[in-house]
Amino acid sequence: MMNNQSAMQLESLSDENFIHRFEQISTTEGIYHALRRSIEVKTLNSALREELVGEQELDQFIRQLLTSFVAAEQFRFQMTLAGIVVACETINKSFARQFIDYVASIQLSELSVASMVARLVRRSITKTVAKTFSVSNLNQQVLMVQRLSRADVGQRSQTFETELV
Amino acid sequence: MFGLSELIGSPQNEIPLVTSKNNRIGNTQGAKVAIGRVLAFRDMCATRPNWRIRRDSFGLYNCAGLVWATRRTGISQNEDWLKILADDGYRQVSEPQLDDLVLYRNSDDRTFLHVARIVGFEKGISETSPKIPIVLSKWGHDLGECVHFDHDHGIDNSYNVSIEYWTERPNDEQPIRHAARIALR
Repeated sequence: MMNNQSAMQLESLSDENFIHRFEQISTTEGIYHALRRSIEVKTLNSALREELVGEQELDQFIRQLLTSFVAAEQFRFQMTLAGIVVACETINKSFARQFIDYVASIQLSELSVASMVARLVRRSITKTVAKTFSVSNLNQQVLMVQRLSRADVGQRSQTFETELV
Repeated sequence: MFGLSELIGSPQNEIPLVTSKNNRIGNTQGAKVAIGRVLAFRDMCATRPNWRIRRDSFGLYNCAGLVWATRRTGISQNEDWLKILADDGYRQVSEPQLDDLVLYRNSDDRTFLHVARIVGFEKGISETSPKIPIVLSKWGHDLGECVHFDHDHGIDNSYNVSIEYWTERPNDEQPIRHAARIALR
């Protein structure tokens, strides 16, 4: 069973006021940035980080939402799904990644907005990972130069170190 | 997990759509909307006395689909909007004319939020005031079409919205107008 706090955090994303705030926007990027800035998504992100909301709560909530899914009709809670996806973006847990992947892989016209936002989130995660990877490479290079310098291999390595700094 | 893989619905559909330079434009045709969305749109319009509904909620296309794909599909990627503006020769103008476009952007991150077509003008408050564009909009992915003043938009107040006017009219307007006058004599 969901406790009151986690239920409230999730349910705020299915509230009509939340959904109406984003429904006039037509681009995936516009929706994504607006969701990222919203207080409801930020609060859910914190709750996921602090493990107040976990896999079980999320699963239960989404299953509940999907009971109103009707084939060939736009899903009423697309913005809710998109909001949860955005809240999961910075959560380094397998269920969060799985959820993003699930929504991104959906190819149904009923859920096209949510899946487009999820694909954008997935691209954003990939970019962040790539950036971190190159920064860690740079750190390794700096460390290598420092080691070379300490070993006193001559003027050339010191010049290289200066250039990198 | 999450029950998402068990969903049975309609497969997403994309139609062939390219710019004038033959670059592909990604698009998705949306599913039809529930009656609740029709009522939600009417409620939204009821709070705006100067809006005139042209069409009830409809899911097939969005605002960009109305403007650039004649109501056949939705164009939702920011990069596709930029591609259309660049490839189809659009430029930003300060004094819009009939049939030019109004682009609504988020001032904070420059992402596009909405696009509408100018269908008329209302006189300004005084003789010297600039005329006020009247636009035809399709709101979001599952709302309807309406006619409204360009600044009287439905985007939530929490956004820092900037309004830009864009046209595909040639830059050398004067000579063309002059040529037209000569031709009419």
